[in-house]
Amino acid sequence: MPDVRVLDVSAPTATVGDSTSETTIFTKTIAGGTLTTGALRFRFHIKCRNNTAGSKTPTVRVKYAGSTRGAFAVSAWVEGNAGGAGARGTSYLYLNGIIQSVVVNTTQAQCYWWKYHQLTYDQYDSGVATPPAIPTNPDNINTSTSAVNTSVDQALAVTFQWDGSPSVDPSAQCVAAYVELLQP
Amino acid sequence: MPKITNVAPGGGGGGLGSGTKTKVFNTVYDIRAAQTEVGDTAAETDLVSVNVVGGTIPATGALRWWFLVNTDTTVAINGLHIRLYFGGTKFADHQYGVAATGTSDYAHWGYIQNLDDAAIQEAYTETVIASTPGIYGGGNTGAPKPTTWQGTWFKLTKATGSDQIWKATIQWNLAPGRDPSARSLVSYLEILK
Repeated sequence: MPDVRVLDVSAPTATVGDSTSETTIFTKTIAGGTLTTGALRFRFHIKCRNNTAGSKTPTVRVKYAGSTRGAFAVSAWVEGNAGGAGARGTSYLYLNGIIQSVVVNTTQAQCYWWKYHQLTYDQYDSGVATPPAIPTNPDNINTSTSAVNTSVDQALAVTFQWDGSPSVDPSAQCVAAYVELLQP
Repeated sequence: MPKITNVAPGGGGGGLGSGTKTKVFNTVYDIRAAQTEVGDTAAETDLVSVNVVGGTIPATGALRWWFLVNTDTTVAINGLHIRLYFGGTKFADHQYGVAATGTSDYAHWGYIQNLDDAAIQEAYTETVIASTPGIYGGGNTGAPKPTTWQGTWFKLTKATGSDQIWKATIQWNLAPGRDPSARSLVSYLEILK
């Protein structure tokens, strides 16, 4: 049975501006040799605000070793402030995933996404409040079999990218992050 | 011996206190979105309440959770408690000052692990505040203000061989002038075996 080693619990301060550029909102270096026959598991709470009327479709990407392992383009995720004065189009995303190392080769990692949960939730007083939804079958939505050299330092990162200007700065951040190592 | 090893509260290095021995892998036990919206009240109100069926947590296993609470207040100087209960016993009381109107997020994670048997547990909780009365609160300026994680240890003696309720509550010091004023956006409970 593996152990659990908590590698990171943080409240990242990086924010996304009024920009459509891909912006890193979380990063953590996984030291070489840390992930051998175990697995990395992570949880992220991400929130964002769209200050324009109508919906946006931002993309959240989880990256490991410089490559995108999971990209989540969330259709109609953020309803803008079309609800009138005082409207607040804040939404949340909850990501829960895993990067599994391949047992047969302790210097390579196989990446796959285990679970994630997307929440759509307009903020108080928006007039367009939508209850958060939990997917009924969130497992295994994305799998990557790319081999990664885990014997050297590799970065785990999360990026956020709007598909149109949110007209507010800052417009998104990772509220809380948690990364752990599961070891045999 | 399998165990959970934390970074120290606030994100630094370090290890656990005594009796740390918990096995994995995990089994998802409960995932839910907001159930209860707290009104304009200073009364203690349940945010999440889950019945943990007797025997679900193995004798050397653990119950872990992760949840996010979102709050809103029009009272500029206020405070709140987020409390955790297991089997009717309050084992954590996280108290926060709220220095501005608007919304904030409170992320929690933690676990209860059985030690030598299924009747004696050690609990650990950590929480982080992302106080965001600025841009997310509607019209104000200023960057979000996440703070560092803060953790606390607790001891419990509960028979996990029997059904026990795990729940999280919230209580404002002053009625916040908002309805709703709080809710759990998502809660995630898992069993480590």
